[in-house]
Amino acid sequence: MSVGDAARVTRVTRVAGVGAAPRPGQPARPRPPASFEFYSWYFLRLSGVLLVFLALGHFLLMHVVHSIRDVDYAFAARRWATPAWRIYDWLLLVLALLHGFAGLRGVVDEWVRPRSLRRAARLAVWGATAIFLLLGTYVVLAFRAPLG
Amino acid sequence: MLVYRDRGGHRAWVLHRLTGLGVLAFLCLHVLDTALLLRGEDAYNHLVRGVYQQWWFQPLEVALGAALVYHALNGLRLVLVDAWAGGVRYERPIRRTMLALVVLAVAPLAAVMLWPYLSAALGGGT
Repeated sequence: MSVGDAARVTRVTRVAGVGAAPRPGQPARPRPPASFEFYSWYFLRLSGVLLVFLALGHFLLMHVVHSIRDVDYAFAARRWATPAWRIYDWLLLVLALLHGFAGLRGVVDEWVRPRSLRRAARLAVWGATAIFLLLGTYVVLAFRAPLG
Repeated sequence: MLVYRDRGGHRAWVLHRLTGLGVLAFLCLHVLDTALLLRGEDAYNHLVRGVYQQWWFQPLEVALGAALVYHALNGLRLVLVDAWAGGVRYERPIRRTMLALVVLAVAPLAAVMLWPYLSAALGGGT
């Protein structure tokens, strides 16, 4: 069972109180506390819906409205001269990285069984998340097109 | 590993995972190539022209687009099946509709992306 599914079961339990079906007069079964995995699952769904627009929009803009043959340094500099595009790109960067690495965390939890290996893999996923977030954010903020 | 009794549903799940991993791999590459902007015009243009604009990279670009479209539509299908009470009952028609939409979206996308390269190759031009 994948972590996403585990979180989903948790959610279903929280929402519908599966198996609880309290008889009248009986107190409802207490909800289990929302875990990190629950929030992770919820974030995957929420960011996923946003990314349908942000990521597909970015791909269509680059490959249908423009073409990969238009893309070069000058193209990027012109684009990022507009702050709105930097904000768009940064939002896409953050949501896509967090969504992708949250998914990868689920894959690791499901496929990597040996304990020490799993701990190392989890650490690597968190490390990669941090590195790409920091690098990407730095590039979006630090890029300055040369004058002229 | 999870194995569903419904084989179509299982295949959809495997594809969701594979396309997700593929898009994540490209995303990481894309963060690195964009970082070349900080190394200046020559470094960035050298990479874009030497890799992304080459004819042999175009099928990979189309594969990226197809993976994105599939992952997006299948993800929306999961949301629908979970959120809508009738979702489980109409699981199969919803899945088939989703697959049809993927094909309908990817075919013109591939045509638009590959056309300049194909016409150049067939015309023997630049």
